[in-house]
Order: sequence, then structure tokens, then C-alpha cells
Amino acid sequence: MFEIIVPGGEVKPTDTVRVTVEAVSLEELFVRWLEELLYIWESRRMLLSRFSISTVSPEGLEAEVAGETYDATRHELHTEIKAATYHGLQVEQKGDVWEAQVIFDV
Amino acid sequence: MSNGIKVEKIDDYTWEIPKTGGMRVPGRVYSDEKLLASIERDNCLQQVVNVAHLQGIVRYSMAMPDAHWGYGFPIGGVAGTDVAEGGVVSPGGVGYDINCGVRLLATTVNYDEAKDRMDKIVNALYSEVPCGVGSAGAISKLSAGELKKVLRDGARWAVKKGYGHESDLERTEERGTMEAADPDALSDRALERGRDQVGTLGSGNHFLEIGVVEQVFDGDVARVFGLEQGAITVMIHSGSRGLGYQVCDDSLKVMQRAVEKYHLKIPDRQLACAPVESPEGQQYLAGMSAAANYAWANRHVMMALAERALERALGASPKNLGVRLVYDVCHNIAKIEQHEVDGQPRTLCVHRKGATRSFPPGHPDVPEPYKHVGQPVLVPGDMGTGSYVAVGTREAMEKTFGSACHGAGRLMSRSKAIKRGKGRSIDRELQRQGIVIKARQRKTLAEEMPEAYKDVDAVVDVMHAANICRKVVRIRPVGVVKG
Repeated sequence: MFEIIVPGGEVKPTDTVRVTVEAVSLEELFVRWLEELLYIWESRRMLLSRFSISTVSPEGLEAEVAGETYDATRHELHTEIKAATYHGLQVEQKGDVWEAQVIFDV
Repeated sequence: MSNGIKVEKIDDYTWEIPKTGGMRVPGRVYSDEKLLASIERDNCLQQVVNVAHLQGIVRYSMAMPDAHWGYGFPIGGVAGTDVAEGGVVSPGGVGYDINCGVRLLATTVNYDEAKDRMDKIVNALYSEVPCGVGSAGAISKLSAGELKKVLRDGARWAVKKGYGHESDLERTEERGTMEAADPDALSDRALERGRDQVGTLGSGNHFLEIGVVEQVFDGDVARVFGLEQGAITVMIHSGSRGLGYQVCDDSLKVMQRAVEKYHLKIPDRQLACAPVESPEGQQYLAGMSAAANYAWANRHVMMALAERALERALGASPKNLGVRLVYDVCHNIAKIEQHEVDGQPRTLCVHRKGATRSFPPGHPDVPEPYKHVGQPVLVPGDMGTGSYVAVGTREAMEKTFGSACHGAGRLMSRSKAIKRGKGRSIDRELQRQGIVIKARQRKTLAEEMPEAYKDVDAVVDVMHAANICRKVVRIRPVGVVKG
């Protein structure tokens, strides 16, 4: 997602933020997680590059994310993401990996 | 046919999807054959069918000629639900960008006299009005208390702060304030997103445009609206920014629970809704109204900044330039309105998502100076072609609950447009057409290239032919600022 906002930009993981998200399903959890990250960007002007999820279940997740404050001299903003939507939302396990699809409103 | 959806021709500009399965009403698409082909191609008709399932929907699930695929409702979708019959309100029928809308200013500046200074004008606008991804406002970060005043009072707040004039409020839909607004209906998150974005344009398809009135179709109405052939206009297209998106987002969570609580059957999760008269419905409308007020305050402030830019560039006061607000319309909103259904007056919740109100002469909500002709309907095209000012009609009330198209509508996805734009200099192409453009992102230019949009002339011709709004003037763009 941050590749859409700042494609190819180098975001140093200098500051960390703890994140807790609650949901009633994996799909909702996925959207809520992305929205939480978007909120961190919009409210703190903080771009994120490292995401470490410590616990996850359909009811919620806890994570530590890291990034740095937006720096106009190094980060070229490309796209404003208005929201992660529920449309076409999919979260599926395929063997050992999980695949997810989300549509952003940009 | 699209995905097996049957479409029957009613007349050259009206098409019907017969009621089948769980549809409560038929679908109605206002379009010509060519535009209908693109509507069919992008799966928009399925969304028209889905909306027809909403509880309390009356008459038709409608699509305007610029309709294209959206979340839940198509963009260009209109639907009215009967409040007394358990009619629902659906945030998907408003959109993420609550009160995305358009404001048009007229001037007495003749384009021929000002065209040599177009670079100067566009540069002045670009520096005066904050735009682009991540831009913060011309107004420094508001306190929580002040933001709540913005949410409650809308454009009225901006006037009190010295932006624009009291007389502008009359020429704004809802006078720039929806009284149902309740700032306390917003989450802390929405409030936080709104604190430093008042007076910002945003990016994507938001823009500031200098135009020239190129063609007059109805001289009498143009005169009433203050639009002169050859004169410069300023158009501002923007919405409720991050605050509005958050209000929509927060409401979808609530509405998903409401669908289960009220046993509502919806074919698409993005059509999550609640009865208008339920606590959830009332809370959404209160929050939506607050976000709408925020957008009006936003456009009002940007209008004042644009006037300042014109003054700087042309060396004359807005008064001497004859700068005057023509009108401000929203095109993503839900309104509680009185309409006649089967000969009876009903209170409806009219959803206009990518659609503009189009009220007739004599309607109490049309401003006094325009009451004898009807409401201005502002239809921005894309930056390469033009925009229209039209006027509302009585037939619109009968056909579409007083609703018309909102613009050209996308034809091509942003990624396809970027691919198509590779190797091309869109700004130089536009300059060859006599359009000065300033964009914060080159990528925005490619995404917003003229071919990415439907033909606004064709879209407005359909509305005119169907007598849903009547053409008044066509405006040609000569300067554009994009985020």
C-alpha cells in the first residue's frame, strides 16, 4: 500500500508504533488493518516500511510497525488513497501462503 | 446485454431494466446507444440491479449517462427510498467523498484581454490554493472546538471568518449548511483527519479550472446566472477530503451490523444500509451532513483564495473583476426531500452518487434570484474539453427526483490511462489546445487525460434531450490546476 503512496521511496524504519485491530472476520480484519496504517500516515504524516505482526486471528491482530516522518526532499508522494474498500475483498489460504485482494479508492 | 441483464428501449434516451428476482423496482438508465455500450461494458448495470433491491426504494433504480462502476451504487446512480415505508439510507449511495461537488464563479473579465496573462493566473492559483497528495490547509490546524464549528455551520463558518460574503450562501446548495449535522456523530479519527485540510483541493480528479464561456444556448438564463459570452469563469471541484472518507468508512462498519439487526437483504456488501428512521440511519445522516458542511466550508475558503490569486495576477480587486458566485452543487449526497410518487407527496431519502440536483423554476429550494428560471446545474467535463452550466426542469422532478448527471464519468481506469499516457506529454498536448496547466504530479495528468473520460458533450446532450436539465452555456477550459 505504501508503494502506491510513495513508489520506490526509501522509508527508514526509525520510529515504531504499536497497532491493535479488532474485527469479526478475516476479511474485515484485513480492511481494518489497512485503514489503521492509512490513519497513521494521515494523522502523523508517518510513512511505514516494516510490519511485524505478533498475533493474528479472525477476531483481531497485534502488530508493531515502523517507519519515518514524511520528508518532502526524499519522498515523492504519488497517490492519495482515500480508503480501503470492502468491494471485491478476498482473503484466502492457498497451501502455505495467504492471498488477499482489496480495492483501494484513490 | 451485459452479464445477461436485459435492457429495453423506452425512447432514444431512456432504457429500462425490467424488474426481476429480488428487484423491488425496475432500473432506468438515461443514455444514448453509444454511452449505453460503455455502461454495459463495465458491469455498471449489475449495480443498477443491485440498488433496486434496497428496502423502501420507489419508482426506479436510476443511472445517469455518465454512469460507471462504483462501490455498491454506480457512480452516476440515483435512488429514492420512502422514509415512512422503512426506506433505507446507504453510505454507498453517497460515496467516500461526501459532498464532492463543484462551485462556479463568473467574472466580467474578457478572456481575449486576459489570455496573455493566463500563465500568471494559473501560477497564482497554484501557489495560493493548497493542492496535491498530503497537502495541508491555508488555514492552520484547527482546534477541536473550531473544527466542530466548521462541521456544524459549513459555509456560514467560512463567511464568519472573513472568507467570501453572506450573499454567497444564497447561491450554494442548502445555503452551504445542512442543519441535520452533528459533529459528535463523528469519530475522533474523522475529526483528526479534518483538522488541517480546510481550504485544500486534494488530488485525483479534483481541480481548479479557469474557463471561458464559449457557447450560449439560452441567453435569457445565462444572463440571469451572470454568464457572459467570452468572459472568464473559475470552477472549483473538491470535496470533504480525509474527514469525509473516514465518516463513510466508519459508517460502513455500523451499517454492516445494521443489515443483520434489521434483517435487510442486500446483494452486495457495499450496499450496507439501515432504515432512515433507525438510530443507525439518523447517526449516518448526522455525520454525513457534518462532512457535507466541511466540504462547503472548504470550497468557500478556496473560492476566497482563488479570488485573492486573481487579484494578484490581474492587479484588480475581485469587485472590479466582477467576481461573483454563480452556484455551488454537491454531487455525492443523500437528501431528505419531498417528491410526488404515484400522485402522493412522499418524504424520500434521495441518494445522488455522482449525480447533481436539478430543481425546476418555482421550487422553494432554488435561490430567489434564480427562482423564475430554475437551479443552475454544473457539469464539469474533463480538462481537455469543456464544462456545462445547465438549468433544472419540472420533468427532472417527474423522472429522476430532480437529479441529473455530474460530469463526464471515467471511461478508462487510472492505470490504463497512465499506460496510454506513457511517452506522451499531456501538458504539451493541452497547451497546443490553448490550455495552460499546472499539476503537482505528472502522473495525475496522465490519469486525468481527456481520453480517460466519457464525452461530456454527449452526456449533457442526453440530459438535454430527455429534458432533465437544459443547456445554458458551454465553458471551454483555458487554465487548469491539479493536485
